[in-house]
Amino acid sequence: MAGFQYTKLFAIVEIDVDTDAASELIIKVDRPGDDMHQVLNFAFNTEATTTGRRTVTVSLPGSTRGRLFQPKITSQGVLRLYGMRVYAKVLDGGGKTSWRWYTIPVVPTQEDWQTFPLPIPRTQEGWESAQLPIRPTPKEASWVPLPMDK
Amino acid sequence: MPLERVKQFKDLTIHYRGSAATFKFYSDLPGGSMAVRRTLDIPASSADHGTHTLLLDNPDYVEGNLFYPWIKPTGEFRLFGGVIRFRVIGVYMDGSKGEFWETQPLGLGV
Repeated sequence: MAGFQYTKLFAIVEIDVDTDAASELIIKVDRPGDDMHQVLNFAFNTEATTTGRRTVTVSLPGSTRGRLFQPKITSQGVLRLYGMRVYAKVLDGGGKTSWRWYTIPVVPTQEDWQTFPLPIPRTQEGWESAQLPIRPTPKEASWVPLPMDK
Repeated sequence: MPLERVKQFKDLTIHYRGSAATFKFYSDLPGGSMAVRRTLDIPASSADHGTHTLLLDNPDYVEGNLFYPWIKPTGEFRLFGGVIRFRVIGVYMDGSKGEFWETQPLGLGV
């Protein structure tokens, strides 16, 4: 697990989420020591407070630090995850010591809607013509033999 | 980590002329089997290409991998076309099926 990354202090986690049931956010880091271990287990359920999507903000224990950060989300039902970020700052070296948000990679959800035409057979816009089944009338008169007794 | 790309359905617009009708929208989520998720009324229309939009986002979006619409009119009904609006959800999981979301340990930049 050890790498070239600098140790960071983690303060806040924000998740953009929509749940239908009780859910949990679990955070693991690799400090102290080198093994990933759990530092937070936070229960949440946006269905209990609102209908639909909501931002859940969680404060991490003040001593949460590590070179690596690993989030996990479980739920007892359906959950839609739209985004996640963590507020952290570098503790040693790197020259970047200010607090900033780090975006956690989550497969993005489209903000725009797509359209899909339903497979309904097309109705013709134009008109077709069809001959009516009327027996044609000859233009010229014709001789017809009359039935006669022989 | 769930891999399927679930869709959220917002609305469905049809072009038609005819009697009033009942509309049902089936999808496979939640649960994984096709079931009625919305039952709505379609008003009668005497316009040649009447338009009516059926909302699928109240109170929540209808979701699913699969869907099909169902229309049963009370009389003559001519259906000329229709379009559905949807979007793909990035991460959708069903914890009741043992699904969860987890990343690899992340170095976060530096």
